[in-house]
Order: sequence, then structure tokens, then C-alpha cells
Amino acid sequence: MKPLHRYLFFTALILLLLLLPQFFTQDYYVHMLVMAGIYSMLAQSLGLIIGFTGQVSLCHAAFYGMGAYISALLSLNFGLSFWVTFWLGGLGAAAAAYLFGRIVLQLKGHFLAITTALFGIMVTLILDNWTGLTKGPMGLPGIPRPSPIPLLGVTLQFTSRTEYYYLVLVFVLLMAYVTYRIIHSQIGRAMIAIRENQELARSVGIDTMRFKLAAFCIGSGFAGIAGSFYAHYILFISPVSFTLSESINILVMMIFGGMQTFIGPMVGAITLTILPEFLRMTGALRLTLYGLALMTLIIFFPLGVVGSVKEKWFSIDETRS
Amino acid sequence: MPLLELRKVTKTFGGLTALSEFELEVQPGEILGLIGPNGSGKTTVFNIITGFLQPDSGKVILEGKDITGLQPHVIAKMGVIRTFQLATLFFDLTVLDNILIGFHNLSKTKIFEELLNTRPARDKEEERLHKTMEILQLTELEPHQSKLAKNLSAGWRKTLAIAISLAAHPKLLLLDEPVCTLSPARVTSIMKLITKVRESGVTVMLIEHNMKAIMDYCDRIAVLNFGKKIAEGSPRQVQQNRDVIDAYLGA
Amino acid sequence: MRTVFFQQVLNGIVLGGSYALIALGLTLIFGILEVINFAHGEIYMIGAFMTLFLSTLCGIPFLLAIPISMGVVAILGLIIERAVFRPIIGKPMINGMLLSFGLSVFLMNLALLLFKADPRSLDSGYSHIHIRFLGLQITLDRLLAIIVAITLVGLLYLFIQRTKIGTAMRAVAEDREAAQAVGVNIARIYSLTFAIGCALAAAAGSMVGAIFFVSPTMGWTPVMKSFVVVILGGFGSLTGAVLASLILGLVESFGGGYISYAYKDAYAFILLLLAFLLKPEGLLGGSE
Repeated sequence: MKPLHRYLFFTALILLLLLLPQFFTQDYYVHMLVMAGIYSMLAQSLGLIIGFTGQVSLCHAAFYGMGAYISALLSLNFGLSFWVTFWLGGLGAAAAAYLFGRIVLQLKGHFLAITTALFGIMVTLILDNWTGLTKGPMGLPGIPRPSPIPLLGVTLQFTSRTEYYYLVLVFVLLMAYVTYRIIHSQIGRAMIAIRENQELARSVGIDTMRFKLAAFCIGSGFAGIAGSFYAHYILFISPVSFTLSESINILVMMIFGGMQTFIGPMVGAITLTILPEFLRMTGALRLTLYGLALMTLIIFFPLGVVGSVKEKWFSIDETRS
Repeated sequence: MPLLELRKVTKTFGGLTALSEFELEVQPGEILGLIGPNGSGKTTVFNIITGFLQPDSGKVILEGKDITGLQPHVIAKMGVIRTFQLATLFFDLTVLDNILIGFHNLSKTKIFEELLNTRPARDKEEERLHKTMEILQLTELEPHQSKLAKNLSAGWRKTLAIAISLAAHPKLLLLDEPVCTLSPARVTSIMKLITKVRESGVTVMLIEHNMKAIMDYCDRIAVLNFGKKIAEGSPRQVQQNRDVIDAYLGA
Repeated sequence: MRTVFFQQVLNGIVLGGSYALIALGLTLIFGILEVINFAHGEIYMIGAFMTLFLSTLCGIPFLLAIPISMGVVAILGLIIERAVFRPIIGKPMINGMLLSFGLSVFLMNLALLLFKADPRSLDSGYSHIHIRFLGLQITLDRLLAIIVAITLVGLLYLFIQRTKIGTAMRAVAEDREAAQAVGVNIARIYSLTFAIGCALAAAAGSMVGAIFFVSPTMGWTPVMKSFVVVILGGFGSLTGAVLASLILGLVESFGGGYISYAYKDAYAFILLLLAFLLKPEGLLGGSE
């Protein structure tokens, strides 16, 4: 795309995104948009870990939960505002990811996956049973909204979903920008090398542990930030939102959209947040179809929607020489 | 001073002795061949030099510095680059991308510069692309640059493996069976490439089964059998060595 | 006090036995097909349900229902191996992993839809019979679980070490190309291995279902822990898997009894972390 076309496209896109809430008068739909935004952040950050660096993490929801709980507890117990706690939620999740990753990122694919799944189960266990801190399955109610901030002359109070929508939009765009920069830098190239052939990457001097850890910490940290947002949006959190099921949810979104691409996970997140709501699927039915969808995707469309499109349209692959 | 020294390197796997008190010196600027029957421990030597395996005892000395047991990427950064026996490539990436990755350590990149895509970062990327083109020309891979590595023929795959290792700016290049199973024409062109590489100042050590290639192009040869060095010297000397003949006939 | 201690030991052995059956299946499947079957827990669960239905709906005695269930599940395993895992052999490892993960999610939630989440009891007819010896007491169903586990493990060993097919399996596990070169029918070995693994899981599920309960979600946690067992046992070592199973069973039993019952499921993970910290080389068989 020529630079001029690109600018026009993005301007149009941004305008559309800004005006979107005007088309949806019902609160419920705006809520869907906010959740789509949160899942965008989650799917994209997981895409950095699995899609680009090839490290299968099945505990993404655990870091999502960590961010949510750290943020909520700091607000509830120390009166800190969201604008401070979301950083701390993200950092806390990233720190936990660092400690955990240091140990387990040496493991090969399958075993990394199992260990992360176990970690996720452990975190859920702790959230459920350390009632002194987390109030267990009863959850934490009464989480404060973000304190008001002035923006372009208007003061945002975050009393309406539309205000949250704009906030999540900012978060999503910033996170997307950082992810984009990482992917298209030398760091991103190293990550892809690790995903494609770790031994070869090592043999040309790439410190594989360092980059795996970086992807894992950044991705998990972003999940923590998303969790923090979630906490100060729904204003109530409980362990049931951060289980292995949720990790699966995010995983399917990422794969559906196309995990090796930049916008794939976001497309997947938006589609799979809004679509099931339209089709009114919940609980076991939703997950049954997810399981089926995941299998179908892997066998027939391993590249996901965006990935398959990219391959069909932009393929300059030539046959054997 | 030798570029690389292996001193009394021993490695066992379970009950099997892969290398036994192996000693070798690699002189700067030479092409050294490492031969021996299957299972004699040749690839183990490479693995130990490059840190993919730890020896049970013994030392690996690079330019006077002890590099035994260092991590593979650290040793690679010091200039010891290897290829693998089975063509190891980034199969789902293009030839161009494969080589670009090899230039990972071209210059110290700062994280923030990378993330903000500042001028220094863009310049470094320019440089990488430029140097990649140079290697593509040197290895005659230029017409194939947009092909996916998995779609290359065996000969081009092996050439690509060498190209990637060249990108990593080696002082010492360890090639594991670079021309095995290729046609004679191919063998010649790759061996000529290796000679050109040596002329640019790189020391080369290669493992090969193709005896003609070894005899025609190596300055010196070391022979392994059952983990022990049984002969070392010029191609002529090695060819006439009794033990070597026995080893190959007996194997 | 002493009796409580040995009671825990017995419990640990029962647990360990069930983990062993699952872990052996996983180890076989991983060693030969090089695929991690995340759906193994659901196979375990299906085995339990099958035994449940055979005994309650068809009136088949418990001890007969188990082998039938194993047979049915083995056939199911053949189908799954053919339809689900065969297409992706040779593709990147992530695909196989995600695929079996999807299968696991699908099967578990399908079971939830069909059978609802409530645990059901599987009456083996032996749960009220108490056996007393040496001052200890064990219910017959638990004793049977131990016996069945030992028998199956023993049979598996004999099969692998003494029969022609077993040797072929070992050959494929060691070097697939070489085995193929000497004429081993790889496809058939894959199918057989998968079927055996599933049958073992079905047996484990049936026994555990009889002692505790049967429910659609029963498979997830035991299988996660069995994965830990496979890792601890050395990725592909059958003996290691059995030993590690027993250790985990005992640790869980004692930990659950003396330390904390709520965190019972975390012991596997803690054990894994400990093993990692204390002896990383032992576990790096699964690393790069």
C-alpha cells in the first residue's frame, strides 16, 4: 500500500472506531465492544508468546487474573487509583512470568505446555483458597472505577460504558503499536528464528532464553494490564474468570484469527467475542464447539483466518528449483 | 598460536565412549578435514566445540581463551559458527529471511532504538540487507532469494546453510557434511565456495564422507575412529596411513 | 498413629497405581507417536462412564465390565488415532499439541452436555467389604484397584519385552526410520500403541470411578498430574513413570493428610518445581 493510501486507511479506521459507540444505543452492545477490546489485548499478547516465539503457554489467564487481583487489591486496600494500579498489575504479572519463565522456558514444547497448564491450575487454586487475601470464590466486589481524568476539555468519569470503550480503545491501540514495533524489529526476527528452529538460532548467536523470556514477560505483562482494566471495569472479580477455560478461550481466539500474524489475534478476539454472544452460546455448549473449532482449525486452517488469507493472496512461493 | 585447541577431550554417553582423550589443533586460515567411519565421534567434536554438548573432561581453547562449557550462543558470538549434519534451516521462511537472521549479531542493537525505529535502527537494517545481498551473490543464491527454504533442492539447501553461517561472521567455520549426497558438479561448486570463504580469512573445519572432496580441498586431515584420533597430517600422508586404511576397511 | 500412617501409604499406593496406568499410556503414546495426548484424561473419563453404564444399565458385573470398557475405549482410541492424529503427523509439534487439546475440550464438554456435571457413583459391589490385615484396613475395591494396576503393568511389561509386536514397538520408539527399514508396519504400531494407551486409561478411570465417583470433569486433573509423572520419570522411560507415579501418589496422600487437603492438587506441581531446581539435568531430557 502506498504511504498516502496507508494514512488514509488508518485515519478512516480510527474515525470509524471513534464513532462506533454512536451506532449502538444499547448498553449491551457497547459492553460487547469493551470486552472485545479486552480480549484483543489478551489474544494479541498471547500471539507474541505462542505465535511469534513458538512457546506454548496455557496459563495466560493466570497472568490476566494476577493483574486483575493485584490491581483490585491495591485499590481496595490502599486506595490507589486505577491509573497507578494498572501499571503495578502489569508489572506484577510480568515479574511472576519472569520468575516462572526462567525455570520452565528451558522445556520443550509439549512439556512447557503442560507445566504452564499446571501453573495456571495452581494459580486458580491459590485464588480460590487463600481466602484471607482474595476472599476466595466469593470474589472481590466494589472495585473503584478509574478516577476522573480530563481529556480534550471533557472530564471522563467512567460512569458510562462508552467512556470505558474509549479507554479500552486507547489501551488496545497502544498495546498494538508496541507489539507491532516489537514484531518488526530485530527482536521480532530473533523470536521468529526461535520459533522456527531453536538450534539453528543458537548456532548463529541468538540468546534463545533471553528472547523467550522477553516474549513471555511482555506478553504476560500485557495480560496483567488487561486484567487490571477488567477489574476496574466490571468492578467485581472472582477466580472463576481466570481459569484454564479462559486460557483456552483466548487460545482459540488467537488461533482462529491467525497466530503468526499481527492483526490475526485481534480479528479472532473481536469475532469470537461478539459472535457467540449473538448466537447466545454459553458454558459447556460454547466450549464443546470451541473444542471442535480448535480441532478443525488445526487440521484444515492452521494459519487461521488472517494467515490463510495472507497466504492465498500474497503468496509468491515458487515451486522447487 | 593455533586458532582452536582441543585438549584431552573425553565424552561418554551412558556406556558408550564417543570421544577419548581427543586432541587437536586448528591453525588459523587452514581448511582442516575431519574424517572417520560412521559413529566415530566427528559430530560430537563439533557439538563440544560449539557448546551444544559438555565434555566429561578436557578443554576447548579458542585463541588462548578457555571456552569449554560455554553456551552455544556465546561461543557463536565469539566467532565459532557451525552447520548441522541434516540441513538445518528456517524451512518456512524465505532464503532472504534465513540469511537475515544470521546477521542478528551484526551490530549491537539497543532495545529502545529498535522499538522506536529510529534512524540508527533503520541504518542497521539497511546494512543487514546490503550484506545479505552480498552473501546471496557470493553463494549464487540470488535468484532464489524469495523462495521458501523448504522448496529448495538438496544442493541449494546445503548452500543456504553455509550462507546463514557466513552471515554470522565466523572466525572459525565448522561444516558438518556440507557436500554429502550431492552431485559431483554441486560438490565442486560448494567446495569452491568454501575455498573462497577461506580466502576471505575464515578458518574452516569440515566433516565429510566424500573422500575426493576432502583430499582435493583440505590442507590437513584428522582421522577419528571409535572416539580416538588415529591419524593426522596432509591428505597424502593420511591416504597412505595403515591405521586409516584398516579403520575404513574394517568398519 | 501408626495405622493412620500406613493407611496413608495404602491410599498413596492406590493413587499411585491409577497415575501409573495413565502415565504408562501417555509414555507409550509419546514415545512412539511423539504426540502428547492432552485428551487422555477424557479417555480415562469415557472409560469410567462406559463401565458405569455397563454395570448399571446392562447389569454386567463390575469385574467383567472393566475389560469390556477397556476394549470399547481401545476401539475408540483407534478411531481417534486415525481420524485426528494421523493427519498431522509431520506437522509442527504445536499443531499436535493444540489438536489434542481441542479434542480434550471437545470431549469433556460434550460429556458435560450429555451427562451433566453431577458426580455419579459407580457401585463396584466391593466398596463395603473391608479387608483387615496386620491391623490395617482396606476396602476391597481399593485393594482390587491395586491388584488390577499391578496386573496390567505386569502384563504390559511382558508384552513389551517378550512379544514380537512389543519389540517392534520398542524399535519404533527408538528409531522410527530404522524400524521402517526392517519392515515394521509403522501405521499399525501407531494404532496399536494408541489403543493400548487408551485401554490402560479406561482401566484407571473405571477403578478410580468405583472408589470415588464418575463425572465428566474427572479426567483433567489426574492426567495433568500424570504428565508431571512422565516428566519426573524421564520422558519415555516406562519404569521411571511407574516409580514416579508411586512417589506422587504417596506425596499426595501424605501431603493431603498431614499438610493441607485443599492444596492436594498442587503437590504435583511443587514436586515438579523441586525436581527442576534440584536436578535440572534429569529433566532436561525434555528441553532443548
